[in-house]
Amino acid sequence: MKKINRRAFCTTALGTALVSQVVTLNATPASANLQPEAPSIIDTNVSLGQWPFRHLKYEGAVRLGAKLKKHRIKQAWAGHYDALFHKNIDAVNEALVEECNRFDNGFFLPFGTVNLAWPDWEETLKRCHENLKMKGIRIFPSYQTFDLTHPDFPRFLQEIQKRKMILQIAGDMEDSRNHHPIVIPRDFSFAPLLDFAPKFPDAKIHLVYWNHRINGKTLDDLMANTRVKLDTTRVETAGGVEALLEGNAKQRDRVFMFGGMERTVTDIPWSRNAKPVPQDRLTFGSHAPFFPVEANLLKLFESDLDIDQTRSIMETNAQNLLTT
Amino acid sequence: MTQKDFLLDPTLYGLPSKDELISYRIWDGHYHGFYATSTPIKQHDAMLHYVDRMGLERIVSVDIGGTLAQPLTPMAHDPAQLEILTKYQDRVLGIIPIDPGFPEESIKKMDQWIKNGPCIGIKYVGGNKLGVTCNEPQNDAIIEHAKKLKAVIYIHTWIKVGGEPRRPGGANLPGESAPWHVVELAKRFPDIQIICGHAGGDWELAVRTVRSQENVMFEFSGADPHSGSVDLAVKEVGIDRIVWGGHGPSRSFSTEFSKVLDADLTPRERMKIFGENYRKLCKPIFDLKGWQLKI
Repeated sequence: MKKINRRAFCTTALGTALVSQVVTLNATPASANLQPEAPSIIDTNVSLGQWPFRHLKYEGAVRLGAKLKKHRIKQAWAGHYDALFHKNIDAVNEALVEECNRFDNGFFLPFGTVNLAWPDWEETLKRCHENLKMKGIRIFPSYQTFDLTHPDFPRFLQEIQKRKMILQIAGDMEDSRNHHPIVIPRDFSFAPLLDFAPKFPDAKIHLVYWNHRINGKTLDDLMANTRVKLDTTRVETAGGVEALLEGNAKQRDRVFMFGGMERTVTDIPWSRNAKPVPQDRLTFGSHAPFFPVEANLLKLFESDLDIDQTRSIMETNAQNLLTT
Repeated sequence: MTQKDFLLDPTLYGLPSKDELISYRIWDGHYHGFYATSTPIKQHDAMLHYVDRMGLERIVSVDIGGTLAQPLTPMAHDPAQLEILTKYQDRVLGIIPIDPGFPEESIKKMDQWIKNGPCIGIKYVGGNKLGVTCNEPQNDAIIEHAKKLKAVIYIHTWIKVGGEPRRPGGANLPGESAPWHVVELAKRFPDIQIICGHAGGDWELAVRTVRSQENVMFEFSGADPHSGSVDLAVKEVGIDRIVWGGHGPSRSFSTEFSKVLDADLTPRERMKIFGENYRKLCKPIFDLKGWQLKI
């Protein structure tokens, strides 16, 4: 469904007599008064287990699952906090599956982890896929002490592609200014994906909490030259989701009232990506229970999205990642 | 404004409706709409769309007069800000950045913008040229003057981990105050209230720092939203000492709303954090200026 340009709508549907009256961008056009069917949500970035530095309010599958369901979330892709520091990650992956199964069978999809910096990651990946039947893997390079230039990374991508799994790469878990003083997560960049992702075009790569690791140019290049997908976890700025989708060259006029005056705004000056991120690249990710799930849900209302964009982010894009 | 303002019904997603947001009478005590190097007025105009869309009642710009980097240097956009503050006072308020390294010049700016102008308070920004944090003695003249003007006092605080040895606050910028600096200052002025901004960046350490100093208010804007943070603050400092800020456009209103919505609060308590507490804070200066204010 194409967006309705509100000015065009006023001119053609309401007649010019009404055009002089201010139509706020917020006001839904008359043709859209019927509430579209509200999509359910696939949350592509949640975590189970215990955050190593404090207990979280909605910690664990039972509490988190109940919370997510209250927000119309029908499925959640879950990693495990123990993946950040544990050495026996096979045990972590097994525990993750057990924890997922504690709530509403199938609600949580376990995304195990492998660590390229440690021996025999191949066997761990094989177990995740073949024994634990996982659909995806989530890696945490800044905690797991490797970066995307690791010599095994191409082979890892090849395996991911061969197994038709989803690879989630977490850029961050929290603001680096807040880390516990004894923890120094390593710096890394997503830029090497510009070289590697095109070599494995069917590898399903999904970046979560990615924003601190990608500058505007790299983002534009990743969108233009790879099929990498992103989540919403740390999409910030006012109207950040629409700024991301429409890029800095926003064409739509915004007409609204403020303090008794009509105002028109034609772009979002703080948008940092020059080119629009295609709507099929963005999935809903809450980063719950670390972030309140409300943060990312509200972003989809704060941004003036159409129903196609909303549905893509809430549900369709994640579904497509799983099934294609 | 009605439920129709959003394409989908937010209540289907466990979120407040637009009407509910409006009912909270939200005052954004940390509005950065003018915080842009070359186009502050244009950016402000763009921000107002989101201010309106998210149901805010009033915004308090923290970037009035000069810039955060050069708070005491008049800028070309100052007259436009003055006009906006005068014309749209019922929606837009302002507090002015000052520089504690230059108390006399700061006081002069306070007279220009607060005593003889439309502004209602001062802001300590996140660092300054001479590296003066808010606890140092030369701040007293500024705070005394703010007290005389009944001005709101907002202090940017952060606890950035870093330094050698690595420690909380070890990476703060020169002149960037931490919550413990605010407490030191607040002890010298027990009869005025001071806002400890950004919850120190590290709310778990900050809330421990300020909890026993009852004239320190707590504000969460500008940091990542952490589930449980407002719950702890309410438990430790009480509902009446928390004010809310949006920090847009660098932060989304969604992020800042979520910190409050995540907490186990009644609608009445949400209302206090979202606006009522700030209104109480600035009631004295409203009275002094002869402005009406419904708490």
